[in-house]
Amino acid sequence: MNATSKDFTDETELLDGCLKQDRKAQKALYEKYAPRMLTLCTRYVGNKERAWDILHDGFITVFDKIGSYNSTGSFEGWMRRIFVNTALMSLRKADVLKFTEELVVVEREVTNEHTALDNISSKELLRLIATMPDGFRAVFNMYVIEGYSHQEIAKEMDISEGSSRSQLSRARNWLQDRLKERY
Amino acid sequence: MQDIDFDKKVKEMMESHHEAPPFGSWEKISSALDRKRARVIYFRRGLYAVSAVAASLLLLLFIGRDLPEQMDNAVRTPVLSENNQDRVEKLDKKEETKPGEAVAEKIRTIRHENKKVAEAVIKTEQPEQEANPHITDDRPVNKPVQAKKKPADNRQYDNYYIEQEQEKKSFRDWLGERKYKYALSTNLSSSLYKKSINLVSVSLGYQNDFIPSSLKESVQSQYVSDRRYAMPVSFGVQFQTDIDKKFSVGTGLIYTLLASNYQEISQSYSRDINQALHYVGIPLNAYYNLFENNSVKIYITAGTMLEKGVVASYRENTDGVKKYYSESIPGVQLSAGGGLGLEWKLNKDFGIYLDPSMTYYFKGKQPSSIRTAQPLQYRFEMGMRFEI
Repeated sequence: MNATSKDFTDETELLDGCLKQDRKAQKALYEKYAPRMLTLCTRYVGNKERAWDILHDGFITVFDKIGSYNSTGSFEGWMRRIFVNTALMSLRKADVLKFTEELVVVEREVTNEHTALDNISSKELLRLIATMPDGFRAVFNMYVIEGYSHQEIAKEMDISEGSSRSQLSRARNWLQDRLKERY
Repeated sequence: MQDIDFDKKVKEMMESHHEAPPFGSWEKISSALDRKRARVIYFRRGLYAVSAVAASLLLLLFIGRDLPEQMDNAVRTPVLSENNQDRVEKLDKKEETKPGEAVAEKIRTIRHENKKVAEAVIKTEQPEQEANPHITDDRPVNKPVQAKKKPADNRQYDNYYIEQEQEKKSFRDWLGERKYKYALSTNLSSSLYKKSINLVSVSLGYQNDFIPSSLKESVQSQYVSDRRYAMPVSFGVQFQTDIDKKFSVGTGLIYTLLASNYQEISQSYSRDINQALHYVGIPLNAYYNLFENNSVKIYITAGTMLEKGVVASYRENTDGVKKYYSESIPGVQLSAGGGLGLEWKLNKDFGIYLDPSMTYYFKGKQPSSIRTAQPLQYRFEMGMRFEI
């Protein structure tokens, strides 16, 4: 934590500062959340340069819309939603979120992938997720990490719930296959 | 391991992982925020300017319109005694049609009756005086009050009633009879003040007053600085009304922009700050005509103005990194001044005026500006004056 963010002892003070468009508070907020949000962006869009763009656009939106945060839920949760939406918008623009067919869900017996997960670092796992095909990477991230329901994913991505389920299953299988291959 | 456990493990690993943002990422965001805010401010300024122009045009429209005939002024503001008021009310009940004619007739009737009453008073009083020839000056004379101001003849008696009526005019009537003018004014102060590079003042540190409070901590003590003040510019609308033939008073709403530039150079960095202070003020002025004919009016003016700072905005460029700040301005600015004015009347209702004056800005908790650097300033106000 550097000198800038030391000035804001609690989050309420930090948010008040951001609400008043105090640049020091905005910088402190950025420094606090940017690393976490960049991980999120990388998970969704797959490459660093695009993730940086999402990080930039996401923070502009956060500072612009901070007045609409109503303090009922966690601020980080509110921010995450903004970054997920920004990432999805970018993917939509790139036309990579189209699911034309519902895939058949193939249930597989998970055997030793858990040991594989124990053997890799979070950085390696992030790289694996980032290399996942665009289509089902978004569903996997939303369901597994952000905790969206299939109904919410269907609504956000304008797909059917069945499509969301099948994409998730494919994503899981894909990741488990990669873990098996490597470890 | 079930899917749910697999998902949980992936989630835990991803939530604990933090990626370092690229170098210069915050500066880019900060610059983008500045640009966005600047756009909002330009939009607001444009909106204010359009509103001001629209308001002025609206006022101009009113000037062009003839006011309705004032024939019924007497009806709207009857200057009658209580007894006469009762009579008017009775007459009102009788004649509800043709209100204009009826009321004019009423006024004539009442005046005629008043005359009769007054004559009766005189007739009854005069014999009283004659009947008591032995009354001396030492004894108090028990006379009706009216007898003291007894008019000599009927014509004087008419004037007597007019005087009485005038005495009973209300403040509202008085306001209604005033002549009103309004002026669209622009004010330039030619008191340019420039402070060139000054190391002594740096060591004293008082130049820090110029810097927004958020930056004060980061300003180093060893630097060379320079500050310049642009010509203050004001514009606004003022209303003026005559108190008597020579004396008039006025008030209005004035916007003022005070722009300044501050440069700071040290061994490790250079900083350039543009400051813009926006004030809105209410002036209170008195005017005394020295000379007036059909085309020219020369007058002296004195007055005071109370101003409130709306916002202080700062555009900062530190080593090429641009930032934008704004702060509210605490307190108020009080000023007082006086000068000479000249108005050219282009027609009955419209004139152009010039008001050169000297104004003193009293010390207050205001941001550093040309007013704090040079409290006594020469101002040059010019504008258009319309008679409503």
